[in-house]
Amino acid sequence: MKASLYARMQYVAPQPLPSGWPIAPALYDSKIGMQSFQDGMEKLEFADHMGFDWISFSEHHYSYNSVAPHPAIMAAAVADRIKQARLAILAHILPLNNPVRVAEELAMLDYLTGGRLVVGFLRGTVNEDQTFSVNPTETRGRSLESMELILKALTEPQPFGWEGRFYQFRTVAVWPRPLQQPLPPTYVLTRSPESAEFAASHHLGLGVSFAPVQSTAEVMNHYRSMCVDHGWEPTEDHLLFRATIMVGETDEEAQEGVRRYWSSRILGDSTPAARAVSTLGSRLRGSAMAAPQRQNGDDTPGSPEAVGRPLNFVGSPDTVFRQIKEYHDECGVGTVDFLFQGPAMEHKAVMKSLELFAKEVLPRMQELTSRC
Amino acid sequence: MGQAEQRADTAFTEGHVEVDGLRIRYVEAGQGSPVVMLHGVGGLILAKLHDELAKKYRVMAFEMPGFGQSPANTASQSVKDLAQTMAQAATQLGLNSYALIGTSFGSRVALWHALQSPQQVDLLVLVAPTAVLPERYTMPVVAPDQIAKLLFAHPENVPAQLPADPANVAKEMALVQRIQGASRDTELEDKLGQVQTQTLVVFGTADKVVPPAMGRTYRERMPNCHFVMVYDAGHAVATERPEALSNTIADFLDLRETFIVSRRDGRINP
Repeated sequence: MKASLYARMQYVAPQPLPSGWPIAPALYDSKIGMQSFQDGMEKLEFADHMGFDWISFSEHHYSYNSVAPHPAIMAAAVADRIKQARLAILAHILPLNNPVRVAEELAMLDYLTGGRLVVGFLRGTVNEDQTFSVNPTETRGRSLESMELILKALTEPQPFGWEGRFYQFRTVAVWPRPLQQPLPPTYVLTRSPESAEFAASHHLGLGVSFAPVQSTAEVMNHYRSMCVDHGWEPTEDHLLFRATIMVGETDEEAQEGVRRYWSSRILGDSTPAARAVSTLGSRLRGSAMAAPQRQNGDDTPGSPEAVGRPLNFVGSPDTVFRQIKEYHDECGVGTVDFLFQGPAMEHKAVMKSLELFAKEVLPRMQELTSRC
Repeated sequence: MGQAEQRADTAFTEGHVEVDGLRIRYVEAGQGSPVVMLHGVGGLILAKLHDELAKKYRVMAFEMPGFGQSPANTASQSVKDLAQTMAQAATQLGLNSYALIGTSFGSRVALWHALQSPQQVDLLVLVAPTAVLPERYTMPVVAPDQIAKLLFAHPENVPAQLPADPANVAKEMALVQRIQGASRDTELEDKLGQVQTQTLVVFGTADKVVPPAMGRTYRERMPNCHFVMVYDAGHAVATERPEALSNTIADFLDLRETFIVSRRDGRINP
């Protein structure tokens, strides 16, 4: 089994920030901001040194949870610092990005990382859509088309034109071609049937975020059966799970950490913009498979009830290992992308949880072999 | 001339020309530069593409001899023969130079036409062409009730069609199989590099009859070729994404190779 560090550039303010979206830029303190980037770098260098298999970056906007709106810039910035781990873009929010530009960035990053790039595709949430004024009712269609176009742009050897529903390009001819041929390992992060079908039909991996073990198994089993329908069988390397984690010396210490650092900072309805996207979001997200919906503006679990415990993995190293193994055994998950950073978690506490994990859980996890 | 099919909104008029003892039907609408259209194995079916093109061009869509209501065509011995016949048919209509659009099987005829009479073909458009096929390719054969599944990316979205007359289908298939010979036309493939005509090749990304990746072969071998993918369309591109196809073709016919330069107005408010 493989472990990935979800490397967030978390802005941790000394005083609680208001909930809602967007957060006013006036509340951003550049000194804290600078420190948060330095802390973020330390985390990912440590994880690389300790043997994590991947370091991942995501795209988020207008909030303190992950102040790194462009995952490709983050990956490029650390490509030389990270010596061993693969660098995973999990993920570009596709409806917000020009698909040809995404293809170009991914291809470049594959070289900058010496062929260590992992690619993820994501649809995103209603509030993120508004960063670039994208109509949320179009994002499903935009995502599907964008994935198809990016794959073509990365693999098609001759210049071509594209007449889509949402995108039109009369000339596409991406340089460089990816170093990893034909493609870097690529995942669709989704619980929607359409996107899972896309992953299955294009022989791509599937990523599920933050769901309880049972609904994760349900989604992954459905994906597996779709893969068989398309004439192939995925291995555990095709199954990715993104999870929240809090490790302590004891279960009690970990639970105390959750109470202190992971207090729920969901979108809420504290601003007009948040109310608007929250209302529309709950209408639009009806068709995702199985797993409970995450909250707009934040990709941590919405509530303890949603996952059966406050985070996906909480406890002592032994407890956490058992919980991870459950996803491996029950769902066939081959890689877990861990979010150690709670919304109110200062750097020292993150490093402690991370170190405990790296020393006492990671080696055991990496010994778990495929059930596929 | 009588009234032709009403499947398109535009009123097409119908006429006939005689070539090599064959009586060839065509339908015509619109004014402007001439556009000659050659259909696929399904025969001449007027659709939105014809409508759209007829708004700006003089569109002449032929029913190739041996298709539709015409008698069995035993005169054409090869696709090359048929291409020559169609070139003469266009000449009989007084056309010296025109844009030529071939769909599927019609693209083979169109390519041979462009090779044999390059002076007549000003621009060439090949939609879901079958002129280049993979090695060891065989044309998929499916039961009649599975045809929609083969032709469309989303058969569930396509209105049910009246079943084709089995006698007609048998007649047309016999002709296609006889003159097309083995599925690949290696002579034609070898000559692609000789086609100097500015060419647009269009494939649906979900074409299940011919792999859309074949489009790159035209792009590689033909010196003046553009390859365009129409997203989420099957082999029957004109039925599934009519606007995407007609806009692309119209831009190409209007602007020739400069159709790749965007003219879209990006302003939201003045």
